[in-house]
Amino acid sequence: MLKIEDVTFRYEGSKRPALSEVSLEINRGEFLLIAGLSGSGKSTLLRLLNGLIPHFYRGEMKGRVLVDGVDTREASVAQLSRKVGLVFQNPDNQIVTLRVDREIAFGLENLGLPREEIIERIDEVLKKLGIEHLRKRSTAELSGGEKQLVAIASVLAMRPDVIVLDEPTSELDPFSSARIAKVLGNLNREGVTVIVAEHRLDLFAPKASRMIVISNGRIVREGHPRELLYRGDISLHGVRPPSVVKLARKYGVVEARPLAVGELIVALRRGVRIDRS
Amino acid sequence: MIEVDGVTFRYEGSGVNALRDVSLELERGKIYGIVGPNGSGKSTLLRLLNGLIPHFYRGEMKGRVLVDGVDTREASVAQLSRKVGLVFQNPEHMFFSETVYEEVSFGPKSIGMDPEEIRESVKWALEEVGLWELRERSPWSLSGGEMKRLSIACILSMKPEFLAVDEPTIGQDSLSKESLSQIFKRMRGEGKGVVIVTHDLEWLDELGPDVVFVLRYGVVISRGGPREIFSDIRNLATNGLIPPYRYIVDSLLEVG
Ligand SMILES: Nc1ncnc2c1ncn2[C@@H]1O[C@H](COP(=O)(O)OP(=O)(O)OP(=O)(O)O)[C@@H](O)[C@H]1O
Ligand SMILES: Nc1ncnc2c1ncn2[C@@H]1O[C@H](COP(=O)(O)OP(=O)(O)OP(=O)(O)O)[C@@H](O)[C@H]1O
Ligand SMILES: [Mg+2]
Ligand SMILES: [Mg+2]
Repeated sequence: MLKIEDVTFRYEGSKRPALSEVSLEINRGEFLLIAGLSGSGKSTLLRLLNGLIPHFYRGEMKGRVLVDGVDTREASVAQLSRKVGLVFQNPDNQIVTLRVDREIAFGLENLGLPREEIIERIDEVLKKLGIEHLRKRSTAELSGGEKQLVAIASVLAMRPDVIVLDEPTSELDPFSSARIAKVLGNLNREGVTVIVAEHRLDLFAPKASRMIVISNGRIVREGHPRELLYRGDISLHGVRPPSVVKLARKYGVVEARPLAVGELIVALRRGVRIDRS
Repeated sequence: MIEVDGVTFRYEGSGVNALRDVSLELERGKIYGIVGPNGSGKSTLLRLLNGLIPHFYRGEMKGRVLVDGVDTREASVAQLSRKVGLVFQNPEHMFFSETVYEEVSFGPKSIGMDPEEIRESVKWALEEVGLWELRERSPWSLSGGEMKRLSIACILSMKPEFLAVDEPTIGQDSLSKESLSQIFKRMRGEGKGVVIVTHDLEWLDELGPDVVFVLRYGVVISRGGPREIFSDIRNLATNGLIPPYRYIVDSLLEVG
């Protein structure tokens, strides 16, 4: 349903392309994790998916991007955003209104939803993310993590078919991060396509059905996270396996290939028992 | 030394105190980690250290903050900025220069460094964070992680005696996290005080701070060496945190 066809993109004023010859197909219901060094092109790739590139970012683009068969150049960002919801890397760039409930209502009003439904959706999403207490707060006076949660909430409330998140947990504490990972996992199970760019692989690798690694604007690795993260060569591209993988190596339980802490603990329990018997 | 002495602070218009009777001392030659869940008051605490509170943020403050014996209320933020450099959590909206190079030169100029020293210091700072190659670019055209490192360079170039950094690892990959660790350790070695707020306990553990403070609801719940703090899994968990995985695994293996 999302198709990137041989796209090369160079930002205006920049000498090197930020993406080179990228082709990628993302099917309905996938949970795609995107990893790569800072500056490798993750955000640029995400900006292609909802048409921010080429509609808002100037530059030179080759190839094309299809969303449900429609070339993003032929659709407006407003149209695309109904299908593909993007949570920006920096919440400050996303938040446009002065109060949290207004912020979440903003996108919903643009969808033309009736008032009761808007209120219902606001209630639901605030509850889901555990931020009911922020409802009437001023968006300018939130802490960094609170702001990030509000930015995520405002995209979730629109219930797009595809939800794209650019480093969504960078400012979240462990419980909120885990909550976001869980919410995204649940949405994915209900059929929503989820695409996440993250440096923190520990949280999303266990949920992802596919992972790609970007390096210098190119997709250099692709596969199931369990495959990729247990291969030694992943660090060639600056991607460090999550702690669980390192600990699995340290304690010699790599055959189990745990990605989640829970899986590691199960593997260790078994491993430890075997050691002692 | 920076002394935070019994500080309680409530932002104007807010019904709750963002900090409650916080007292702590920060010395030169040490790295301090400040951790706590979202909204626990970490950024607020950093804003005290260079006088942004109470000079820029309105609210009600009790107690006092002394930077080398000077009450922050009696000094201007400009004066304090020579001693205490603060890197914001989300610095993007602070950028105003045409190029990365100019952005990093601004601070040193404003504190009256001489031109030769400014050149050296800006080059050094940009190299430290790996942005020298991008010096002609516009700050706005950087990736998220690059912007964060730019904001760190902006403060490094001013050579403050205390460096307070709010969430340095936001947007950073494993390589840049490692180089940030090196920068902070070198500064400690040079006798500077480094104060770091972070959610990234794995990284903080590897960095090896001298003291860790745990904040919750604006209160310093506990303080101590990293091993002492991180191995108290129950205390961290009840305060909304998860210790670095190796401590969890260690405790599981001990229990066996
Ligand atoms: N608006 C822009 N104009 C010019 N160059 C840009 C722009 N945005 C990004 N770039 C450059 O394009 C490259 C890829 O940037 P991108 O933001 O996609 O990286 P990223 O993988 O998201 O990095 P991070 O993890 O730091 O967010 C980088 O070299 C960056 O400096
Ligand atoms: N300018 C402000 N005006 C009013 N309240 C504020 C302001 N800034 C922060 N707060 C509130 O004060 C409390 C502490 O915020 P602070 O930004 O210090 O938290 P934090 O620990 O840094 O959180 P995070 O990890 O999310 O960055 C929060 O409840 C926050 O909503
Ligand atoms: Mg990015
Ligand atoms: Mg903060």
